[in-house]
Amino acid sequence: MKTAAMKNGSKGEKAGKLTVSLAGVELPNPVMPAAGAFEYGSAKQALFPSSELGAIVNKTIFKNPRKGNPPPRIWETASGMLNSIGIPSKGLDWFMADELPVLAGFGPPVIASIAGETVEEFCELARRLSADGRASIIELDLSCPNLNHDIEWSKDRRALKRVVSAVKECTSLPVAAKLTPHVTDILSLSRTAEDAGADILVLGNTMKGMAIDINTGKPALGNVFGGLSGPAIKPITLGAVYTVFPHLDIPIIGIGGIASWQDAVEYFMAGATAVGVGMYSFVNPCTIREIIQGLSDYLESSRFSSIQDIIGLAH
Amino acid sequence: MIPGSRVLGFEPPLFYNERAMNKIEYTICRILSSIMKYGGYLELEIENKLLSETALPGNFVMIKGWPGDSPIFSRPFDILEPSPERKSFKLVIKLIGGGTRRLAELKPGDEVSILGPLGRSVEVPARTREGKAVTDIGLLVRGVGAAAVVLLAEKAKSAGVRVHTFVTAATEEKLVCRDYLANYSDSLLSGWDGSSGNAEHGNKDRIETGAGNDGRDLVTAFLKKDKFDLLYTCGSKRFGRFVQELDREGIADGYLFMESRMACGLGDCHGCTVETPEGEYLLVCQDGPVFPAGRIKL
Repeated sequence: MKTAAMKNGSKGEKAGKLTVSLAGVELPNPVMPAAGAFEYGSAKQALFPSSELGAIVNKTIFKNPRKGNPPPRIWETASGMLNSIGIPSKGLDWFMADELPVLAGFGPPVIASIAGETVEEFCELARRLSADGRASIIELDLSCPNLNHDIEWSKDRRALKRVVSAVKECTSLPVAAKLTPHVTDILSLSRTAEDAGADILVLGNTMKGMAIDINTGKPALGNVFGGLSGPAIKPITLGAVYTVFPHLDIPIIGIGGIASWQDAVEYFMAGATAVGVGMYSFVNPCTIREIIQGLSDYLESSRFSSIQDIIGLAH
Repeated sequence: MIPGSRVLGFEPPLFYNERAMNKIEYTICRILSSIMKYGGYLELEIENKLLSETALPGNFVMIKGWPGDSPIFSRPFDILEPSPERKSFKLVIKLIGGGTRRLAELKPGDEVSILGPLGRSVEVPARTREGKAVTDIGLLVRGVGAAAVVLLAEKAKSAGVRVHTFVTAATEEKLVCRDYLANYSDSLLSGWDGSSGNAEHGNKDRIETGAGNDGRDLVTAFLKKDKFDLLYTCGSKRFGRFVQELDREGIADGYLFMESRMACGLGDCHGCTVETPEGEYLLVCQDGPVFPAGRIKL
């Protein structure tokens, strides 16, 4: 089993306590937004600067503009939320011209989150982003439960292998495969992604579920089903990271229900090299800033000299 | 161009303020007062210097006034009565479910978290779409929707624009914010369901509506003798459609104060969508909460 330092090629004395490396891309700290939880033009910029993030992650884009799903798109649950947002997107051309320049200007490395209806579409997005050069990593959103797709990339081994290996041919940028733990065998699918060439694994995504509004007697969400996120799902996605870590060589970005630095530490100890925060940034827009500070204080007062020392510690 | 300014997809009318990256706070604030009014609505006065000085019509806050995550999200409410002297602002809240009932337990001195000011603020435009100078505005509201327009009425009055208010509710007791609106209105007509009474305040003659006390009847009767250039509404879908009709007929430029369930309140989650007649989606928190009447499909 490879240690975290071996997987990440840590830079030793030059790296700060919080610095991590994902497939050769150095992040100033290991905390980033989950795709879909950070909108570059939102009022949150007035609260804390995006330059503080470990990486910038856009709301997943498709090649063509899409409206997203009809409202209602959100529904509060115990310790979480359901969303059926459905990835509204202004499309790749707009992203390259309008959004990416702003994202690249923030400072931290940009992880470009992309999705496609077909393998060819994934590849076209990957090719254009590679040629552009401002994104440092390409993240493939293979597991959003709100797309009315026929192909479930992250649940079907052959589809997963096909899309990851095809995208790898189109780009020299590191490719991250975002999978959902809502499958029978997350280890086997993770291995498939790694064998197909994925440089980074992102675990996980929202979990499919629904609610009924008893005032109307109808499903609460306009799209009926949505994805559950927030503290409620942390044990599930944490479990997926813990399961997969010992068997993979590639680093893992752990996402799911992180609300505090303590939650983030659990993910590092399970085997994540970096973490993503989604839903809880809606509850507290300064969550990521507080987690970064909390991790820094935690390392300061602990026996560990850097984040590298705790990655995989729980095994 | 401000980095990240959202493209509306339509030419904003003259009255939208530039949504510059205004200073926003996410901070702990003290409750100054907590009163039940209007037959079951909660009025909170909350201490916050920034909001007391910068809140404008259309701005709202996200408030969370209970420990922990049960429920998990803050709740959105429109700001009224910002007072730089008292360093405070007010919220008027209908008690519906878990979050609002926790807010009703708050006492003076208790602390809440406040995120704001949020939303695209608006001011009364100087001219109508046709280019005519605005001298009179109408406010047609029902229930807790009245809280959304109080600050607009206040600002219109200070700008020398005449304000004609139509407040409605299920009962006379529940005419939310009638007291505040009376301070800023040149004429105020109220109506409530299931009675033949209507009442007027201010310095106007009694206006008989005849048939009923539905806000639409009040407006229709008013327009027989008087007029307004713009008509804002909040709190009733029927009123919204009525305002759209008057807008289409060229009687007054209409504006809708919209609301939606919200998660983040500031444009990240894309949860609070409303639909346009063309099938596009706009966000209440970032493109609204005030929209030209023709822009929304009700």
